[in-house]
Amino acid sequence: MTTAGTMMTAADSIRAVRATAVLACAFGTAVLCFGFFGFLLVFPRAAVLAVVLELPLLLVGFVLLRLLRPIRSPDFIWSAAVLIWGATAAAGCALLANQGLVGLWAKSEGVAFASNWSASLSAPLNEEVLKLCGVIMLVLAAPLTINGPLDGMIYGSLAGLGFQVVENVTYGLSSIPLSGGTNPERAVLNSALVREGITSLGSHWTMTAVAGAGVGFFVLHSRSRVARGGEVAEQGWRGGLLPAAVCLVTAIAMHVLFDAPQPSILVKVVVNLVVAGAIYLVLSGRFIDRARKVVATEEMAGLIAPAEAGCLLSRRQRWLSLRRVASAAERHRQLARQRLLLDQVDRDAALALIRP
Amino acid sequence: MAADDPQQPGLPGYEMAGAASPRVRIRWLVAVVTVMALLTAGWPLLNKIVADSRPLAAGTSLTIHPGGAVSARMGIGRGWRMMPAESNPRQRYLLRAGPAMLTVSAASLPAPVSDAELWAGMRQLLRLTHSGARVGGMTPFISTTGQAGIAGPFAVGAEAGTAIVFIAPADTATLQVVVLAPRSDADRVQAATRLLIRSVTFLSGPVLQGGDRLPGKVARR
Repeated sequence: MTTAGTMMTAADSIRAVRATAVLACAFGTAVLCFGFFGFLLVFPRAAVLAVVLELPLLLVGFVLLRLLRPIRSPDFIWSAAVLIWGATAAAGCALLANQGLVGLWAKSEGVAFASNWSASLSAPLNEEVLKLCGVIMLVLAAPLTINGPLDGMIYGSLAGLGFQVVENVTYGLSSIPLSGGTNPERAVLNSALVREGITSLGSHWTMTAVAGAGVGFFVLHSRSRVARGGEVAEQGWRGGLLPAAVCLVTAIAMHVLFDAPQPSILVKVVVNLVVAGAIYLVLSGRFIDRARKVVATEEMAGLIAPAEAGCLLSRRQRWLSLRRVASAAERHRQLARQRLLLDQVDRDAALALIRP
Repeated sequence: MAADDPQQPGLPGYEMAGAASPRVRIRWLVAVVTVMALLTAGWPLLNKIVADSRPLAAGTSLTIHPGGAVSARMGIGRGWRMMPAESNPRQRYLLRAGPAMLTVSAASLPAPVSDAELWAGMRQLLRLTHSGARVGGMTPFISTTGQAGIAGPFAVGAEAGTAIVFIAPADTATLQVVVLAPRSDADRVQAATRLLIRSVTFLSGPVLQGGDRLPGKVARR
């Protein structure tokens, strides 16, 4: 096969992944519409309110989670794409999968057992896997987007956020029958206050962040093998399987705890927040250290000017340095160079996480 | 794919980054789609295959929301079967007897409301669960055991039934019952309705005797 032919095939394969992702999102949206469209017809004001009340969480969460990525925010388009996956493909498919598995628990173990445990024995498996599929699809659809566990964690949290927002809307709508249909707006408001005020701090975004870090580890190990020509077997993709599996199991365990009848919701939120926060602090700390070393090395080698090196790792410093440039063309050139250098720093700093 | 797409193969850094080969990418895509399909279609299919009904012995009494704020007990007549996949003792039971259907749902009221508002809520919920439902007017009642509520007829296509809202003593909760069957099975609907009105008892809060309602409630009836 020629090089040109290989490149075409690579482009085709990426196109196939993206088309499949769009189809999955459309399918999930259709399932959600089918399941909840009736609320829009019968309780239009409450249905609109349920959506509107989630917009602050969606917007603030999207901005904050992207800012959590040290040095620079992840790509806007792919951040939005993975969020949409969580909100549509994952949420829609999870609706069907959970109905099926919850029903099986009720039939096999009885309704008393199922009323206590079916949620915590169904949703974690289905939902964590379906949300994680979005992060994997991102790796396949945009191969340079996730360089390591920190990227995986940020994109995972965005997928979780999308899922969380849609789930909150569905909980809000489902609270209308639980209040006898007497005051649908108030039922939706009460549900939103609980889910945004308390549970949102430690819900889906924390779980998928942890699972997403695992995908990042897997990607990192895979690339390490390719970069070394496959000579070091233990650094190959198999080396990434264990951390990926550990992260997924941890995310599922967090979800099981979250859906279990005990302990109190506050304890569950704190546990999830602490687990995700601890992993984030370790990964981001190591990433920043490695990034600084990479920049210092490049500066010593004369590949980066001292002025560039001084501002490269800070969002604010980069922005200020660009503002000082008078010419639009020069600013555009410097911006492109900053991006190129940051791409390199991202990859090298991520790889350094598993290299001695 | 756009010409300036930074993810495009062939651009500087793409191969260096160790992106997967097309074959590996497609293999992963197939794996992801397979897993999603297994979860999304597999569980519902398996759920459909497993039998979905538990016969209830005559004289069985069901408790909804046991230990909770809307806890109530009710008697169920002969021939009804519980559908476990659609039942959750905390919130709702779905029972069937041939083509007839009976649902019992617990609801917590955000604030005390009038009978008219309760019926308006019931009407809306019937429209939500039974598209095209035609709901008649309500009739308040107090059963021989002192249980207050409102009831009224409704119809959906060729089926007709009764909707009942039982009101908990402190006016903070209700039990909503819907009995629906083909018009030819009207006797079953009437029998189920009569038994439920006779037997529903709220377990949380004081159990009131006939006519012993809160003053405001009595005045409304």
